Amino acid sequence: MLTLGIDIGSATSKVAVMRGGTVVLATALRRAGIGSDGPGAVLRDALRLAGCQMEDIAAVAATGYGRNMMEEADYRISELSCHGRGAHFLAPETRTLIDVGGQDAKVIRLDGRGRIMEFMMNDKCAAGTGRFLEVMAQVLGCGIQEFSGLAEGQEAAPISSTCAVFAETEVISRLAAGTPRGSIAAGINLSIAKRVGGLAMRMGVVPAVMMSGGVAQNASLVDMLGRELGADILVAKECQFCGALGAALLAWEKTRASGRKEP
Amino acid sequence: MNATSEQKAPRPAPEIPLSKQMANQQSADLIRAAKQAKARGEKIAWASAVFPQEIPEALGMVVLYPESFSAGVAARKKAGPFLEEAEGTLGYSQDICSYIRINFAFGALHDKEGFEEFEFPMPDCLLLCNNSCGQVMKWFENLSEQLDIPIFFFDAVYNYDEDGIPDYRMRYLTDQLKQLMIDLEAFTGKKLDQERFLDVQKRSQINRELFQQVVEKSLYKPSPATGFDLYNYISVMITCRGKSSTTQIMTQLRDEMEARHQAGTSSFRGEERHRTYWSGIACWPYLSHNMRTMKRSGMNIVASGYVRSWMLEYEPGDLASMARAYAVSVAANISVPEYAQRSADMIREYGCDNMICHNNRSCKISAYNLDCGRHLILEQTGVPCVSFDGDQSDYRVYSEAQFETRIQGLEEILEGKEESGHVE
Repeated sequence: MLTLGIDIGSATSKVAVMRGGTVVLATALRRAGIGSDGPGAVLRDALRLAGCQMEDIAAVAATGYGRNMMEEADYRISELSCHGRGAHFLAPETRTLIDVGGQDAKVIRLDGRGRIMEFMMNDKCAAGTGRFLEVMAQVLGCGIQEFSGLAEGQEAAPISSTCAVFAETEVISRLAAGTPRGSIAAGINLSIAKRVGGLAMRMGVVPAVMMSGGVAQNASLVDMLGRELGADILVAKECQFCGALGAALLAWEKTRASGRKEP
Repeated sequence: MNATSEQKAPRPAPEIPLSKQMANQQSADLIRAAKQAKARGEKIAWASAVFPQEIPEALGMVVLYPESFSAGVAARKKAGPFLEEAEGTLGYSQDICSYIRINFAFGALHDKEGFEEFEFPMPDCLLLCNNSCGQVMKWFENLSEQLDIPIFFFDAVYNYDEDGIPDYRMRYLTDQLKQLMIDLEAFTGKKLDQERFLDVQKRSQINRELFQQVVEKSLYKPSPATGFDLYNYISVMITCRGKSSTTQIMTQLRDEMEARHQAGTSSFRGEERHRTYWSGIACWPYLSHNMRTMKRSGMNIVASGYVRSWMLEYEPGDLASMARAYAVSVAANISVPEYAQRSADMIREYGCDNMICHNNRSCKISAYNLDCGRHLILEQTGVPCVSFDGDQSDYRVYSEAQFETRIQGLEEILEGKEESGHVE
């Protein structure tokens, strides 16, 4: 049975196609999220990579903030459950999952089957999210991909504000004062690590800890967060697909449980 | 000819329960009474939400409640111009309570064109009690200076510990009530009739008892009401808890709820799959969005500490017991462990299987209680909990998508527990 999970976030759209709830046939990502042509395009990409048609898919589960706009979806599941199940698939020992996405940061406690037991999320503002990093990268004149490398091994310049607006002003004044860009990037990472770390510690950190979402590709930030929490942090190479994989898995489980026939 | 969908008559508006009609009438009567009193040259007051109303009521003084007014403005989605005026022309920070911002702006706009619909006569004095909030003291201090009117203050003193109120503080609280009587007599030029005062105290206790019966109807499973219904009746207990009209409204409401239970119906329009404990003030601008989202997940609010804040229980004729009630009844005036204990008790008593916390930007003390008390409550009850960011009357501090995700996540936790048989 083929199932498809689509994770429509604020900044990116991701798809995973799976067979039998165990084999990943394809994953695809587009840097265009809710309200764009990203979801449609990434769906086509993933089907092409998996070598199948939409008609071959037994069930589709949508997750992310755009989940309710996905007309083809058989299931609409919160990204909390999907990320949890995806993390369990990638590393079954995961008990604490930290996901930093485009517009929110969440800490999820998982049981031994990858089900959510408890979660905490950031508040309405963009502090400590991927969007915050994007804005800061723009101020430093680099792309989000370069940002991590820029911060690598640098001493962190203090960036006290986690508000995107105030931090932008702070970064500009640091640049004007001649502080190296790498130090500023490291300072920005540290401010996010402290904020997300605080969220995690409010809930309590149970190992093993995994980080997912695009921000998990920022190695310097992951390292700082690990130090904040006093824990090693697992980062799977499919960290951006945690939600989509979880959605595909849950689609498979739900379809099997409902006894629905395959196409 | 068959009627097409275009030809069908519009659906009739939902019938407003008699109790709600009575409450609306009471509210209109209060404003009318204030205007008439002003016209007669009598003094009227604005009071903070949980002021010892028995004293002005016994003196026949009309009292209005600006917090209730601000909540009403927000619930009708009309807070925008007030918030803009407060933060723009008047220069107040967005960090202060939105009830206060709306009220300050009302002071500046109430006699301007376009604001005629907001009827709320201006006060001659302020009645202040700090049991519901600390910021209210600066609010009234500011109003007092702007309007050049006096403040009559009852200092309820924050209860830092759970060992009860020591004797010296009880004397302080009780003596303040005695002084209030003297000061308000002098200000209004009216003599406080002790028999009338006792009657008002008795009436307040009858109304408290009735309101408690109303709230306890939600012990039924399923509950005959949504918790949001009760939020709509809180203003009755805030503004008129010493009046006989409140007795009629609460009796009617209690009977309506019992009748719904007997008929197997409820004002909660979905299936009550989960019973929710709601912590914090309502998010008034998004009440219907909260309700719709929770309905989809089968979550019905059956208990709330906020609703219980107006259940001030004391012995009529015993001034010390009345003073004590005003010091300990409101969650904002008690220690975190005490707040957590009361919440945990209600969660167990009402059979709640989840808790939703409104992290209200306006109410610092409530946000503090939630942050610090959450673990204590969860340790005792084991129910899953989510919190969301919002505000009691600033519509800008809320994200519909974030609320929906949190509620769906909570539902998925509950479903997971049911699958593993963890739900009692």
